[in-house]
Amino acid sequence: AVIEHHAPYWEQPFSQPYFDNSTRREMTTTVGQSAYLHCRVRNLGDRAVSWIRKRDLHILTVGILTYTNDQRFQSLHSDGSDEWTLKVSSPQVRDSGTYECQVSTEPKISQAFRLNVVVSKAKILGNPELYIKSGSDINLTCVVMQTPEPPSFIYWYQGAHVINYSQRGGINVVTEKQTRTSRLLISRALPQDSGNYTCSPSSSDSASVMVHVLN
Amino acid sequence: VPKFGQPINNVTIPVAREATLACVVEDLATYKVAWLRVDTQTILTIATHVITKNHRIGVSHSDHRTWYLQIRDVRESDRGWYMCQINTDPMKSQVGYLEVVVPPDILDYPTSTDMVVREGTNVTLRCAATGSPQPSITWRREGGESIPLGNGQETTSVEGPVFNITRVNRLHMGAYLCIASNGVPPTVSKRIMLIVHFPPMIWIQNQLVGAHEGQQMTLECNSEAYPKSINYWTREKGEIIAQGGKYEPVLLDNAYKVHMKLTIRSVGPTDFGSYKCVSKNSLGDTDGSIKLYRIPQ
Repeated sequence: AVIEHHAPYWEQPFSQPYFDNSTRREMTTTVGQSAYLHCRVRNLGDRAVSWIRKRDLHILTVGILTYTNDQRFQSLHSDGSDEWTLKVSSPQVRDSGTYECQVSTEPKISQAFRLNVVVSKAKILGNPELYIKSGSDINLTCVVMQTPEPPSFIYWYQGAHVINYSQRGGINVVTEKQTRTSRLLISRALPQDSGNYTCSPSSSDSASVMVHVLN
Repeated sequence: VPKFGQPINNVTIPVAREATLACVVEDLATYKVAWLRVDTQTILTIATHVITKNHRIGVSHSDHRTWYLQIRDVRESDRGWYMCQINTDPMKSQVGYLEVVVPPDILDYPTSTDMVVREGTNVTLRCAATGSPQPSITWRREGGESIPLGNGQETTSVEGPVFNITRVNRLHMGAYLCIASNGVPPTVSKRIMLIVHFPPMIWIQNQLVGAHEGQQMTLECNSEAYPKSINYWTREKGEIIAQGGKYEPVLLDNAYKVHMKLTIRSVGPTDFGSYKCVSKNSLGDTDGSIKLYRIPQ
């Protein structure tokens, strides 16, 4: 027979809610890229988890319900889980600030999360205007700045059109997500290769250089 | 789109009572009103739901127009700003202040207890009180007697928690009331006795008294002493005059003052001569002489 030993009730710890401190408290995202703030609460019991914006004390969500009428804020929670996630869709720079995950105990317990929404920029190394002799190579290197995540793609444009590799031979594009760079190489440039070249990464502002191919 | 009908009125409430803050909203429609505590950034209620587990908080409304935040059994920690919020986009909010007041209470320490001091020394009476707003302290004498000031002037009351008396004298002896008030009833007071010790002093109006033989005569002395003195009469050689027979000493005392009378029912030839009235207490003794001489018939 198994004899179970139960601690008397006065020796059992009170089941007060507490936070799981392993979640990230500081998030950086680029404009337009959805942000997720993860708040994990153990021993929640019958208390509610709410999200508020500290700047103006605006209540965003309570439990799984959304109080704010700003549709970009949403509470994500699956039944029985400890996680109460605030999703901020299409974040703007003005959404940067501190958000608080709050539990309705008396007194309340809370955890602050910092959200940074940044404008990511591309930069083409070298001069903004290039003069190249006909027959030389055009070599442009584009770096994506201030992006927390590598861009999912980087497009190159000549004027208003995406560069078509098959249109003309001798075009080589090497994009490295890890270093957030893309290199455009056009061999043996001709006067008709002159124009405004633009590097346009996903979720970043683009950068341009003016290329003049001289006879 | 909803808007606020009027600002939130600030509320002042004594501790332990119920406070109600009212937020008036026009055209609420399907929007929701929430109450928050500003200083702690705590969500209290949303629509008709109480979110916080603070069981003293309640919410009610009339016609979805006036939204009441109720705080039962108010505590000092509830003092502060409260926000009424509507979930419009952008959000609208306004705030109101809850002032919690506390009636005065006099602290046993460091408030003075009964004081016993020697005449001529300096004495400080202290009175400490709690309450909100901070109570002001007034000192008065029991029975409305005046308080002698050092410069020979008098006053009926002294303000402030510390009451200094320099060179205390017997006229300061008595009961003082420390009264604490802050506008929140009830005002409270504490009675502090000030006891002044001094050695006996004797004052005689007539030190030379004449009498016919057979006449009834009364000799009188005034003494002042505290602690209370023992008072008696003696003849020239120091023999104490006992009660009874032809002598009748009478003591009339009032606080630290004693009026001594010695009545001789029928003055005889041996009664002429010197008498002494004596006053003694723990701090010393003193006496005064009266000479009774014979007036020929």
